[in-house]
Amino acid sequence: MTVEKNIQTQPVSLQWPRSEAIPRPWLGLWRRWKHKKLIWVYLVLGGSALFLALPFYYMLVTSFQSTADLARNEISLWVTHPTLDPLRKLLDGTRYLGAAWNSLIIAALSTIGNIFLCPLAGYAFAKHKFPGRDQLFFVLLSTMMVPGAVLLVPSFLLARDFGWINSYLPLIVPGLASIFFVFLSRQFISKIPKDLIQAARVDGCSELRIYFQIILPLCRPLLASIGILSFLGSWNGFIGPMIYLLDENKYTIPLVISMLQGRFGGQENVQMAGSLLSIVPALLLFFIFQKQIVSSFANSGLKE
Amino acid sequence: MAHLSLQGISKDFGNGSFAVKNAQLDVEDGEFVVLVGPSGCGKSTLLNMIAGLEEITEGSLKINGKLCNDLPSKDRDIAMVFQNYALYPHMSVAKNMAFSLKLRKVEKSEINRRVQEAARVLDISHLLDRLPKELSGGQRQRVAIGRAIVRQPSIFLFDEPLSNLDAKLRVQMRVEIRDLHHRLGVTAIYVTHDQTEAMTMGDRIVVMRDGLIQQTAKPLEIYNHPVNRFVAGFIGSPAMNFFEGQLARTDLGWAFHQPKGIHLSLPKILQAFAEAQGEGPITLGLRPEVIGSAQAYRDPNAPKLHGKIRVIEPLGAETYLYCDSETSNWTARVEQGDWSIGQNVALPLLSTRLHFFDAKTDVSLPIEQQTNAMATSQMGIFNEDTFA
Amino acid sequence: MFESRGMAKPKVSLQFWTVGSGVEDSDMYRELAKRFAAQTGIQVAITPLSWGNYNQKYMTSMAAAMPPDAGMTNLGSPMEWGSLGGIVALDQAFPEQIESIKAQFFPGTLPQFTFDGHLYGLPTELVTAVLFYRQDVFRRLGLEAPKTWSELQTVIRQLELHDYHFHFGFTRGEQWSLYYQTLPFGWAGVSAGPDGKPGLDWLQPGYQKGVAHALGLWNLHDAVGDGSTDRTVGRFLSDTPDQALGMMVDGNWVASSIQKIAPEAEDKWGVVPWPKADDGQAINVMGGTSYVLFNRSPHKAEAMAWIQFLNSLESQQFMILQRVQREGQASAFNISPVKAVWDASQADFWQRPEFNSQHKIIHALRGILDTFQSFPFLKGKPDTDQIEARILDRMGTAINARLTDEAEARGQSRWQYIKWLASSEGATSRQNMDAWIARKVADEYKTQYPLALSRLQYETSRYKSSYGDIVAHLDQYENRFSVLDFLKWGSLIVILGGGLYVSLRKDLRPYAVSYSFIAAPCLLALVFVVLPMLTSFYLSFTEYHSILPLASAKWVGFKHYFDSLNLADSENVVRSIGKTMVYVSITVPVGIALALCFASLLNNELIGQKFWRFLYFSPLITSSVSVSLIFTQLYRESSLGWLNAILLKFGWITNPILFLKDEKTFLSCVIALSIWHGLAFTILLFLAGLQQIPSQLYKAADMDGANVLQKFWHVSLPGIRPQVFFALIMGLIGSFQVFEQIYMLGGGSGYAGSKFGPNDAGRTMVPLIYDLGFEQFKMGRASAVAYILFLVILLFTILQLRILREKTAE
Repeated sequence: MTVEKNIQTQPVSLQWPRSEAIPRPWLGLWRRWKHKKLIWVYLVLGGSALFLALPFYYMLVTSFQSTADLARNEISLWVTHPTLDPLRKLLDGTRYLGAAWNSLIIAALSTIGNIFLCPLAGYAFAKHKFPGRDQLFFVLLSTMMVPGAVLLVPSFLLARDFGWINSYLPLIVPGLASIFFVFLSRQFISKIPKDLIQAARVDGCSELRIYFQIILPLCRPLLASIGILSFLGSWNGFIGPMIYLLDENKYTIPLVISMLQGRFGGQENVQMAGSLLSIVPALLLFFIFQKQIVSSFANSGLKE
Repeated sequence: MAHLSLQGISKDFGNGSFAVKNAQLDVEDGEFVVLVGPSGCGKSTLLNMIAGLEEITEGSLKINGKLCNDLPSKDRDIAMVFQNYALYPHMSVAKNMAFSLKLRKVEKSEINRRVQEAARVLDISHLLDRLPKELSGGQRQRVAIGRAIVRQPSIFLFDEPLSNLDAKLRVQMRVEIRDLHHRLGVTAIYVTHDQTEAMTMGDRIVVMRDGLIQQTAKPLEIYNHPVNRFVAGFIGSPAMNFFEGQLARTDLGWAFHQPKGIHLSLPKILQAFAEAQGEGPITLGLRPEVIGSAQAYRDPNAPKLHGKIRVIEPLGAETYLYCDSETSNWTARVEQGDWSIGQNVALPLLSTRLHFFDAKTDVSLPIEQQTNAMATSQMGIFNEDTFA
Repeated sequence: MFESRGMAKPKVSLQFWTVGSGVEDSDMYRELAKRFAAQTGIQVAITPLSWGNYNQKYMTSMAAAMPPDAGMTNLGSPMEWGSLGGIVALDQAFPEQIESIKAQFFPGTLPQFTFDGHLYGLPTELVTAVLFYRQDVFRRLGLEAPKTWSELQTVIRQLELHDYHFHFGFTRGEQWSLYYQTLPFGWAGVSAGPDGKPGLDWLQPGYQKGVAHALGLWNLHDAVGDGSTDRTVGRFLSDTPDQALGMMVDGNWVASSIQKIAPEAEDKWGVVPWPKADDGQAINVMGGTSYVLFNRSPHKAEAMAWIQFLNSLESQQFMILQRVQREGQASAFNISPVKAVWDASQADFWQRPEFNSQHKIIHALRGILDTFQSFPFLKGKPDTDQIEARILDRMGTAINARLTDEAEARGQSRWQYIKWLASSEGATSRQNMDAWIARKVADEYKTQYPLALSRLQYETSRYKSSYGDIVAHLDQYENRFSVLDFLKWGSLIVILGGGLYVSLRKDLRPYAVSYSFIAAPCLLALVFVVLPMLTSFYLSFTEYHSILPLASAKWVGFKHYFDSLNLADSENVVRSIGKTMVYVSITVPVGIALALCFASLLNNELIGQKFWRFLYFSPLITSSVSVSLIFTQLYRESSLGWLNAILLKFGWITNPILFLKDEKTFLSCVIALSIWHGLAFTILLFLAGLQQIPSQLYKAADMDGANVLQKFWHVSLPGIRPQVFFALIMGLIGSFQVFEQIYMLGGGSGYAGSKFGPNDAGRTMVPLIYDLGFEQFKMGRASAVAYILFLVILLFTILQLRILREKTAE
């Protein structure tokens, strides 16, 4: 097999309909309808989609409803008098934007750490030979078996001992080089042909140069996976921020959202505005980077 | 330009197993040496040791008389062409070729000059801005070679560079590499598992098996005088036929005899050899072209090999017959003719061109000089098709 | 710049934390801080907390030795923290001032801050329940404002007969509002006996009567509990325009927002104190807030000055006014515990126009100020509260079930049946129901009494024996070497030793580059996985409260493990494992089955492929907290909840389902949410797998004449087997650790009582660990439970790997 073939065999990515697939959409549409068998597929998918999208639809409708409309003793399936009041109330009553900034900082720092450290370690485990390599890797893998919940109490005590309570450090540092991403990197890099590294060595590359100039440029899909997955993991994290952060100015978005029930009790529209503000950007990002995100998640499940 | 010397080189894994053991080889300046052998024979390991990609556990490696065992590969003044080309997929052809020079801090204009020159030599000037994935297999191969050329190394190493190409391209590249070598005159070591490549390209061939060098010699020397049954079987296509039997003394002199099988009276010139050998088990080797060739048909006294045709491979210029006899299966290389499957045939042999091997050790048994001289003259000149 | 004003004294800056439900509270305190700074030059920084998690935040700050100087909290917390040395015993710290400080307040309000003879907090606002009624409605119906419990029951029935639905505000965590009902009877559930030994009032007939009343009110009249009304004990609503709101049993604080709730009833409200027990006994005050000072503070005197400033007449009046003037639901009327505020000399203050609509409640409150009473704190009360909360949850579920059954037996909806019960026709059934409730209450309390009492007494003695000594010698423990110190130094030695070993051994030196590449993950794993694991392992054999120094952890052997496995223990792990198993065994297989189904459908060549995929993948990157918040509302119990509305609309149900209120349905709700949220990832995984199956296989199957199902079974499924196993393993490991969804759906409230659904129906393993470790701060016990969870997961993983191996061996 050739090098190039090898590198393209990586990660599964879902195939997306290319534009040239249907040169004249309406004609294609018509032709496809002829596959009458598929009608029941559309029916089942459409019906289920109604249920799947219901929560989002509810959120959308409710977050633009006025408190007066909500107080009426009946539900309305659409917004009769759309208003931005709930959003305004939310932004006035919480430090939502500050929380978004905090979440961003935490997620960005831990993502940078993972992107930098994990492929490096994965590379060493995949392509270097050194005493104790397989044993060390096994030990690392087995730490992945330890459920996060088991570490909750002692991690708190450790963070306290380090003086890290009410800071972002316990949310960032322990996850700077996630073992899962090291594992993922090793899987990915071991598929890069050995020849390439040897060629670089013959060409006169140092170890660091091989990593940065040869391996990393080939790892773009891997880096995207690590970046997206670690960013999301950090961005959506809840229990950690809840335990470690005291000061409201330092809260992250999930924490703010979790407090809406108490803070805006009885004001469903404001609560939903909170959900909306956290979900819509995610949906937008997902819409734009759908391909990358989907393949990142698909790769996370790729096992040899 | 360099002279390379391997003295007692071994690669051993510490647990008693080894990849290469006690390899002894001297490569003259400008020579093209081919390492050949089946996969796992240690040829690539040996090459990697020369390249400095694998550690040498024992012995000494000298380039131009200088001990290089612990010299990092970048300082050995070598260039290597890899089996998978190992082109950096994210760099254009030009950048791939320039990469090593850049690392060596060669001046930019010089890099440019050398890249252009190499591209011209290899006829890839129009591809310089492309990425490897946009090239065909043959083009990639050329780029890989170009990358080695620009370095102007004193030794070229090739690690099965043609194995990913289709058959036609392989033949073409074979010629080109050989041609290039003539032009550049650089010492080259070439690893392959394909005996045809070895025969056609090497000034000298090193046949390896299980980490041990079996024989080092010029191509024809290897073909005509394989040191053992392995080399004999490995070099040459279709492979040599082997028959296990006995040397027996008969009323008509010495003969090779298989119970219920072949009975072959040895020609006069071999009587002395047989006498020296004495009665006992022995392995007979017959190259396919010895069986049923035109020359053999011309000899009315030629002994005959009986068998039944199983498969026919007409190649045009000649035809291969795969035959079964009671005790063995064998291959014959014959002229075009009216052959049919299931046909019982009796093919004449050139009884002057026999090989004998010790039944136990598989070592080639020496036949007197004069016999060999005769055999060689009868063989005529090899052409490429002989090995195709 | 301003240093000249600070004079010789170094400038002091105080940290003050407030708890509130809106931004208005913190703004108010900031304004007060400005005034305080102008008077004294002491700066006060205000940090708001929410009622949802204040307890955890305060505890964490004390545990981390970074609490504020002073803080506002509820009435119950001070003793809990004070007994562990977290907050200042005011009588010890300010012996000269203490008597004059105490004299400021109504004396009945102080006992609840007293523990072991020390005063740990000062009240700032009190809340009690009062009864609001529409005078015009009552007149029309010929009703009088009820003065006793019996009269209240009659009034409720009359209202119901006239189509007034009762809407009850507390959908979860009802236990703390039990006081509303039992206070008139003079019982708070626990009491210190004359011998100083703690006791329980649970078997007193009067107490049980109060509980039965409460349960009746919450469950028997409540057509469907509706969480929309914020912190309201109950409202009687009808469809009659202009007279929709007939009566409210509510906290005093709604008095000022009443116009917003029912503008049509302006000036028509009557306010009377909460009904007395039938024997005329009246005891009031059931909640409120307090100020505390923290032991770590270097500025205790300044902090005390700040609190005294807040409790001054001027500040109190400012706060009362400020609250009343707020907009909408944020507007509140609170009761100041400061006697001076209510003094006759302040008549002018109460005549201010802002109080124009408050005169009735002020009048009603003045009448009961002297009856304010609170009860001294007992260790172990939180534990008995937990047990009691579960009794109430169970009773609620049982009553609702019976009500529904009886209604359905008569072919009526619940509301119709409730109305019928109120009528004279239904009198017998009603009496039967009341008797049944009373009997069941008696049974429940009798059964749980021994456990609760032993728990109460055990906790009391445990605190004395475990912590008493430690608190007395806190400073000695602080410098002592703890298990963490040992492990920390141990890790450091391992790290340095490893580095030294590699650099000293000549043959390893060439590999230094490789070692440096893998150093980061190895170091992190050592420090943040191995080290904590060992710490936790040690802790699981000790008794340790995280407010105290780690060195004070006391060895108790296998006690936590035995207790966790003891079925009689209310925090036993068996129950949680059971719930976890139910959750896992439904979530994972159903999720995988649905995902297989959808993935195969999506794998067809569809028009608008991108659209379909976006639709089905969209939950992928949404956070479970946000999604859970949406579901909390979808699951609302009233007909205003969308799910109930849909089900009612299609006629699939006759009565709204009490999704999150019923302990039988709670876990199912969590499961449905988790399946919904997890589906996208699994579909995606399977779809990616399906697309890797070569299309030749399908063509071959077509030629062999396979139908759709056969193709799925023989081509698709075997083709994505690795993905299915991956989904299974990831699903199992993830599901075992479910937390966010349960925390959110359970209300996540910091109220005493069930935090993870009714009767803690959703307290699976991780919620249990969180509850023990970060709400109760029993670090030893939490560690033991965590290790049990670890073992369970390990067992399952091994089992699964074995099955997998056997399968592949076939």
